[in-house]
Parts: sequence; structure tokens; C-alpha cells
Amino acid sequence: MQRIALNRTAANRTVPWVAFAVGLTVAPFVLSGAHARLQLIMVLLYSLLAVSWNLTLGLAGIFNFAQIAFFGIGAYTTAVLCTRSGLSPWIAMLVSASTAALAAVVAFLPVLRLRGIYVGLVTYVFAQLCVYLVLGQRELTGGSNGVVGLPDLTVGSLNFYDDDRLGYYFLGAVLLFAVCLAFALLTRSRLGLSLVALRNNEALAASRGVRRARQQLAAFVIGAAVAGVAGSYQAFVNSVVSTDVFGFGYLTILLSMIFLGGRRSNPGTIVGVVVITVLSDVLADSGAWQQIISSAITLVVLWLFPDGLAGLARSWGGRGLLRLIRPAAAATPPAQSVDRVRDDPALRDSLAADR
Amino acid sequence: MTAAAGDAGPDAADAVLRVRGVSKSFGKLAAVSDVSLDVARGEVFGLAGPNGAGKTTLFNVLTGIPFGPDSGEVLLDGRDLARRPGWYIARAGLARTFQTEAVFDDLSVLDNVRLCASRSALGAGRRRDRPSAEETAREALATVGIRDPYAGAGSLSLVDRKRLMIATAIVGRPRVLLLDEPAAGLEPQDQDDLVDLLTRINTDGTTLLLVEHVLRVLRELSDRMAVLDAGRVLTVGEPEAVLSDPRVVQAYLGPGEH
Repeated sequence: MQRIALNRTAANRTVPWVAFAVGLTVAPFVLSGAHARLQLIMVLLYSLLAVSWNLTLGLAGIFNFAQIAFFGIGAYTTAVLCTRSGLSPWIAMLVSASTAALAAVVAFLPVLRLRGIYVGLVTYVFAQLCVYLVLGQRELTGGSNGVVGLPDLTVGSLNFYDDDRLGYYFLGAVLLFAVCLAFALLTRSRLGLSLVALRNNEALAASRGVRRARQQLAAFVIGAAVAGVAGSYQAFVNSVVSTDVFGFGYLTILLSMIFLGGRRSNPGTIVGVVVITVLSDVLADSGAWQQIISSAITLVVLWLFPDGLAGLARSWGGRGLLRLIRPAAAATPPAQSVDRVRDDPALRDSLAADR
Repeated sequence: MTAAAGDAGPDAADAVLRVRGVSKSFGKLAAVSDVSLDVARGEVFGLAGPNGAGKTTLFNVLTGIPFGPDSGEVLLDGRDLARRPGWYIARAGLARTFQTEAVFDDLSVLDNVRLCASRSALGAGRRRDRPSAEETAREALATVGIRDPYAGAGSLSLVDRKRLMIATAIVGRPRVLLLDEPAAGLEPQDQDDLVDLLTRINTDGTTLLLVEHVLRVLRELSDRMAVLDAGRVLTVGEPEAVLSDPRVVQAYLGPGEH
């Protein structure tokens, strides 16, 4: 895999990005109509959030459940600023990125001391605390009623809501493209490499001069800033913000999208988002079956392919199909492990011979 | 400091690494107890001792991974690194390998080494004058003899994993490299290659501190050596003198067995 990725010529590397850009550009014209437009916007929103989450959850391998809080903080920052002050919506969007990034610093503090699943518990609690904070500040946040009546985004005389929210679609598309490109570069950077290194072997990474706290904090903050922008985007698209943004609904649907697609692959994640969004839409009238079916599909894919659809794509054609028949046999070839005899018999013999 | 017969210890000025009264306890167990060693610049210093003698714990406290010593000093060129975080000690020039063949499985071979070619390792001066991380990484891979830089590290053989681990350690041009049982699990032929490799690394100017159970390797490489037993330095000196020391034999074979 790696070899192919690295040996590609620059042109080959550009092709998927051009295809991605073209796809984003033509999608709203191929799938037209108010309903399809809204579904596309939801795909962009979920993708933005899922990709931002992948940085900590996938690349860095940290059980970070605070991402949904960063999203909510972004949404509320935008909502409060736009309705309670005369601030430009565009500046509100930037401020949302900053407040979410700031919240990430706070949420990261326990990560300094904790590892693994405990990080998951603490960051989940952080998200819950945010809900109570919002509910407690009724004057500012509207409490459980939420904030309503956000202004529409405009550029000059162009209102983003016009033409079935076409402006919002393209804003989301540009954001998603830019974020995906930036994260692809980040993955190849020293920060990206060190995050993978810390995920693989923290002690070895430290012994090679990698500062865990600094690198993982950077991942938290960058991911949170993007989630904050996604929250702001969500606020403008819906023109309403409520504590739902912190809720279990977002958390579970996003996790199933990320895990279905493959949490270490952004293209995979976006495919996961599309699959779940389409599925939810098709099954919209089926009541509880909607959740049951999409959950069942996610579980089956994860059972067969722990790396999600991205893993399925990687092993397509041979090993992947083999795995369907013999799940255990076709795992990635483990590095020859050593069952070393670390006892002293050789040493004893040698010493005895010395005498 | 245990003064043993034949201990040609370095003068303070020659010592690149000076360990002074280092101790580490886990509850009531004194894993490393008042250990003092001087490692001369450019030498290969061997470290032996029965299992549980505290060799690996000593490496752990010297490199701060995952913990430093309870007390004592670790002076690298006169600078005390004891109780500094591991990444700091690594950047100061004290590198190590691990008993298990630790590499970053999800990165390519080249990326493993590229990551470890830190800025400090590339030297001072303007960016364009310095070799790139990738050039430095390729050099290190050539030194250890790994041919395919694009292979995934997770798919390497045991021998190549060991080589890669050494490459990630030397690419940062450490002053002292701590090697924890590098020959363990290797076939005799591979052990010979390892001795060659470590000799070359040493000749290039890296001081080596070597924990090894394979006595042949220890003998061939070490200029001087020490034996640890129950967390203490039993004796220090020339390898042949140390290995025939009755106290050393006693420590390995136990009382009454010989």
C-alpha cells in the first residue's frame, strides 16, 4: 500500500483530488431538488465533522468523545454571537473555530494523565458538562429552547439560502475540500507521522524525541477548530441551534459513519457518511427499522472488515474474499514474533566452560 | 562505585556518560540500587547480569522511559538528565533500543526513520544547507542495510525490524546509544552481522552501552563491561577479567551449584 502511495507520480496523486473537486461541483446539479440538496448538505456537514474527528480518533488513535462538544460549542458560539451581537456571521464562524479550539485545550488536560478507554469516559463527561453549561446559561443560550432566528449567510447581494440553499452547499463543499486537502498534507507531515508513532508505540516514540503532550494537543486543537467551523455551518444551515448538537444522536450516527467507512481513511469515512445518509433517507418512513438496519450493516461490515469500507476496498479482490470464508486466516501477516528463550542456559554453559 | 580489579575507568573529562548513585525502587523491591558507572567517549561498554538484575530497569531510568530514577544523577557531557522526560533525554543525545523489536508498524520503513531524524539531529545552520530528514533517513537505512524504504514496517522480518529499530536510534546521531539485548533471538550469522553493524556505528563516533545475554557478542564488542546483580554493580573491568571473577560466576550460577 505504502509503496504504491509513495511511488505515485505527482500527476497520479492529483487525479483523485481533481475527481473529488469535480464530484463536489457537479453533485448539486445532478441531484437537484430541495430534498436532494438538503441531503447533500447533510453529507457535507457530517463529512466535515467526521473528518475532523478522524484526526484524533483515527490517526492519533485517541478515544476522544469530546468532538461532539467542540461541534456544539461552535454551533452555540455562532448562534449567540449572531443573535445577541451585531457581529458579521463570517467573523462569528472564525470565532467559533477559536472557541472550539480553546475548549479542546481544556478537554485535553485529562488526556495528559489518562490512557485508552479512560480518555473516552472523561471526554464524554466533558461533552455532557457542555450541555449543562448551555442549559444553565438560559439568558444567553435560550436554555432548552435553544437559539432561533439566525441570519442567513450572504456575500454582497447573494443569499446562501436562495436556490434551495445552493450557497450553503458550495460553502460546505469548499470547506470539506480544503479540510481534506489540509489533513492529507498533515498526515504526511512530522505531526502526522508522530501521531501514528504515538498510536503504535508510545514508549518508542518518546525515546525518539516525540513529545506526546504537544503533538496530541495539536491534534485535539486542530480537529476541534474544524469541528467548531462545522458547528457554525450547521447553525447557519438550520438557522436554529439546540442542545441536540451535543446529543447522543449526533454521536452515534457519526461513530457509525466513521467506523463503517474506516476511521483511518478520510475517503472511507466520507463514503461511510454517504452510505448512512442515503440509508437513513431511504428508510426514513420505516420507524425503528431505520436505526436497526443501518446499525446491522455497520456491525456486519466491522465484523468482516475491522477497518471498515476502506479496509474492504484495500483487500478487494483476493484476500478480502478469502476472509469472508476464513475470517481468522487472512489477517495482515504479523511481523515474525519471537518466542525468545531469555533464560540463561547458554550463559551458564558459557560461564561454566570458562572456569 | 565498585572498584574492581582491572577497572581502567575513564577520567571525568573522558566520560561522556556518568551515572552517579542511581536508584529505583518498586515498593520494597530495589530494582536498581546506588548504581554508578562512567562510560568513556567512544567506547563500547557492556552490561551483563542474571535475569532480574536490573539491567533493563537501569536503561529505563537512564532514558526516562517510562520513568526516571528515584535518586541519583545521569550526566551526559556534564548535564544532569535524571528525572527529565523521555523525549527531552532522547533529544539531548541519549538514545536506546528495546528488548522487543519496537518499530512503528503503521508507517513505512522510510517514514519510521524520517520521523526520528529530528531537527536537532540535522545540525545547526540554515535550512537549505542542512541535509533533509529524508536524506539523513536514507543514509541511516543504508548503514543498517535495509533495502526497501517503502515497505511497511509491520511486514518486516525479525532481523529487519531489529535493523530498523537501530536505524531509528542512530539517525538522530546520539552521543550514547543504549542497546537492550540486540542479539536476542538472532541466528549466529545474524549475530555476526549485528556485531559488524554495531562496530561500524561505534567507529562512526557513537558510544555504546550494551546489555547482552549472548556472551560472544558481549566479548567481541565490549571495551569494558560491568555485571549487575540484584540491582547493584558487582564488578567493572575488562570483559575477560570480569567474566572470570568468582563473584560473577557465583551471581550467575547461584551458591552451592558449582
